[in-house]
Amino acid sequence: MTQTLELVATTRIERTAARRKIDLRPAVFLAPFVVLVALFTYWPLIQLVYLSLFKLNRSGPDRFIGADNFLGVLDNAQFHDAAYNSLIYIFLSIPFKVFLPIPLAVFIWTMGAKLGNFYKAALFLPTLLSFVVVSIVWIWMLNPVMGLFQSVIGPLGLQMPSLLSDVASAIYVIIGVGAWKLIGFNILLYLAGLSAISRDYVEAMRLDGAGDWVVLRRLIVPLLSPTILFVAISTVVFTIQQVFTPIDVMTQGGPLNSTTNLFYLVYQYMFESFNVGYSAAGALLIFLLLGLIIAAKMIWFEKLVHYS
Amino acid sequence: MAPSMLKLSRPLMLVGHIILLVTALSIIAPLILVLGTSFKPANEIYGGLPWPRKFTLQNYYDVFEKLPFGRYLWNSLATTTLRVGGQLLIALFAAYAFARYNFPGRGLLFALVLGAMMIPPQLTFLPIYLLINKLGWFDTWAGLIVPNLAMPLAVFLLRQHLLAFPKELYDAAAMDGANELRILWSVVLPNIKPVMAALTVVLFVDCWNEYFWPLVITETDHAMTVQIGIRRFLDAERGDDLGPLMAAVTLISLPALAVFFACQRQIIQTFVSVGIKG
Amino acid sequence: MATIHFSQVCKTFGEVTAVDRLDLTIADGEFTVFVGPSGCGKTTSLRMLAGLDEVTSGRIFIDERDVTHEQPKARDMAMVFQNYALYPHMTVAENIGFALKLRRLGRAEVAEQVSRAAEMLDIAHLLQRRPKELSGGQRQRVAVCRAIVRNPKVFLFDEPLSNLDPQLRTSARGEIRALQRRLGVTSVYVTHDQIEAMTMADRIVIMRDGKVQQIGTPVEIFERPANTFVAGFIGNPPMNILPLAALGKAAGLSPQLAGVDQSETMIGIRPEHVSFVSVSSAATIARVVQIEMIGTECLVHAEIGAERIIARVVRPLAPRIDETVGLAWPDDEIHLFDASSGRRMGQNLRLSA
Ligand SMILES: Nc1ncnc2c1ncn2[C@@H]1O[C@H](COP(=O)(O)OP(=O)(O)OP(=O)(O)O)[C@@H](O)[C@H]1O
Ligand SMILES: [Mg+2]
Repeated sequence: MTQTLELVATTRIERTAARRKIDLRPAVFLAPFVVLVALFTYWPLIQLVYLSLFKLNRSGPDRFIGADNFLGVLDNAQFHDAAYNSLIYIFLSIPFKVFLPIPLAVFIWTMGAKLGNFYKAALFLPTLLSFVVVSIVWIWMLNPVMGLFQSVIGPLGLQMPSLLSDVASAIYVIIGVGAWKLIGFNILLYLAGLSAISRDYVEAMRLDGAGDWVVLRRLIVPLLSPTILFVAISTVVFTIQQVFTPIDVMTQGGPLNSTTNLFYLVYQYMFESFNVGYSAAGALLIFLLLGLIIAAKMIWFEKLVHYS
Repeated sequence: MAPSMLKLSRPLMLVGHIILLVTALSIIAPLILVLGTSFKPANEIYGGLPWPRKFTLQNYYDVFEKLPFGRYLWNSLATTTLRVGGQLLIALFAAYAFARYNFPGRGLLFALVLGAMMIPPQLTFLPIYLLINKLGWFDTWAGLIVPNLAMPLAVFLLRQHLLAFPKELYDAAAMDGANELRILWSVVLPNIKPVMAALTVVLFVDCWNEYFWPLVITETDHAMTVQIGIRRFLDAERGDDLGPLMAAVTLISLPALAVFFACQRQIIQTFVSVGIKG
Repeated sequence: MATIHFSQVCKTFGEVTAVDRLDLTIADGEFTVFVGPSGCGKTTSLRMLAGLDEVTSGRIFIDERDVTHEQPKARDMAMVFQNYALYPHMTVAENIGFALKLRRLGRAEVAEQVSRAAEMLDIAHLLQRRPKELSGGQRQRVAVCRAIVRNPKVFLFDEPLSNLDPQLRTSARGEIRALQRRLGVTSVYVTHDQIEAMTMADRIVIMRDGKVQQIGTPVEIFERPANTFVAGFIGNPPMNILPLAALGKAAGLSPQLAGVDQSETMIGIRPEHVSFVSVSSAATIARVVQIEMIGTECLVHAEIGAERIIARVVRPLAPRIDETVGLAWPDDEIHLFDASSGRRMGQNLRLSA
């Protein structure tokens, strides 16, 4: 009797479980996002691999060409220039965009709210301007004939050099313009980090007789180091990607490839040389490089960063 | 701003002020010059004065005369609005699903969201460009908008805010007879207005200022945005276009700056917090 | 108005079985209280009834209709949450009227029903405030008001009083019960407070670790606890439960206890039934170790060998600490439990005597 009852109960439980509906609501809410990300972020990544390994052929099946594109790109003089320039862009952006803002942020941090807010607002402005606008303004200011600087030094009998058409200087102009746009924002990021530092630490150190320099070296920089790491990584990523715009607007990679970088080259492979395979292979190489840079930076900074 | 926490010695402070002042001036001065030049008549453009002696709007008329700048503005405004609206809606849906439901594969899916944040769109432009061409969306609004609708950063931010949202309110609304869309619209949304507003500003500025993708995907006035269109003044490289160029620069920078001057503090705050989370 | 029926309802969260084969029928208009220690599955049971959580297996019926897989909306129930769950961006009036608005009632009609319900709970003057401008007690009333305004088939309460201070809790207890009687709506009320359960319930469901321990009226549960857990859970202080063997020769003397295997039996005696008698006439001897004053009465803790027993007596009758006393209790107030299963043995001794 009891056994039968239990049997009945179990079968009923099983039937209920089988009939239970799967909750479709999360799927419905996620569907648009997931489909779009799959289609426009992850699928292209796979597609890139394909495009780099095959030669597209309109009238027949695509032909597998193995690592030819990669070897070709790696052997390409333009690619060497671009890789070299990318390293310059990255290494020079560290002192200007990552380290220079630290003392500036500390200065603002020690100021009264009124002046501090004025500086913050002024420094923030370039963040809101498009890189196209920033580039145009600088082209105008640097123009050796009718630029702003020329109109200032012209009356003194001096002639503004043509910085953007000089192989030796063009890349530094672009780095400077990038710094002009980003410095303010990085200062604000540092200020956000500084505001998390407790005044007790500073006061305690003061009581021990520490001067400005000691407080800065021994307290502020160590406590700020996670922020520094963060700013450094985001600046490198920003620099590699966003510098595309000033390159395209100001120099188009020239003169003599002196300002091109890897991203720009990948773009040129596609839209100037119409070489899909090179473009795809180049993009994948950058992807690899980007991963390495970020990993290396993490490891390098890990040693410097103090998590207290 | 937090009260002063570190009293620097006077000479050091002075150095600080000088450096900051120079930096701030190097930012503000060119902007004032741009604004001044945009109001100058042609004969004053190369004069040394920062501000026009004779104020004129001629440059602004010229912007619309010499190029279909109105069309560029319209393309920018419409695609930015549609894109930001879509991004917010899609991100809100996804964030809601992540925060509210416990479903198999949630962790993996969220990891994919985080992963997508790490992939620069400039690396994947090529396959997307080919796909858009196949779809017949080259040089259209759809080509500008659709590939950018999924915004992992927005999902990430909204999810964080929704996780702090009291779960009992979902249940209360369900008991009151609200369906999921109604809960989202009438209960969740009014409570996350500040984040949504902040995110809207950031996404709007981001999209309005975008250069790379419109450069790849537009070709004619049909879809060209202001950021690409303005280069036409530059390509001309003729001296007498400097006035209109500066007027165009002013015009396309205006929306972001206007919002900024309207609510400075929050905007800075927002960009910094998004920057930190991004 | 509705009857509710749980049939073999189970709920598991991964490895945890939150509710284990719940079988229960609740009559129309009945006020049923789920009570038990934290984590015993009360809230989970309630949420499954509400439709907020899906059952793992089993069925739930309302008025004979199978609602196991229906959305909360289709079940026509209203719920008062522990933290009230008032919508922070809406005024009190909007909070109360939200459900009506969703039913597409006209604006005037919503306003009228809201104010009628608000009158009933005495919160008409608060209608334009926001939840954060209310005290805890006021919030609780708003939450109840939001439930009654819809005139649902069933009220569900999940510890609605646990965030109130003790005095407010006592008065709110009475008010909720009076309101429910007036409206005659079937109610399920969850609490971990046995006093709330005893004072409010028509019927109590006692749970532990997801399993129902006993279902019965407050009197039944108090007088005939089904096992040692229920006996120890209900009553303040709880029933003394000791191995029968510990009472020594007292056990042998009592005629009712003849024939019981002493080593396999626990005996339960409520503290209020323990009295002190002279050592010479007593069957059980104990030593007083602690005395707690609780008003006109006090709790006397005494040791019988290694076992401890509590007596609740009026103050003048209390012995002194360290005194050796004799203990006595009426034979018909004794409860016997099986030592290994904890289950109640046989009939109440009072009836078998
Ligand atoms: N969403 C969930 N995920 C996993 N486990 C859960 C979940 N909800 C409840 N549980 C578990 O189920 C069991 C019963 O929980 P329930 O909330 O029903 O207890 P309760 O009786 O209401 O307790 P309390 O008096 O503390 O509110 C607990 O062990 C709990 O940890
Ligand atoms: Mg609970």
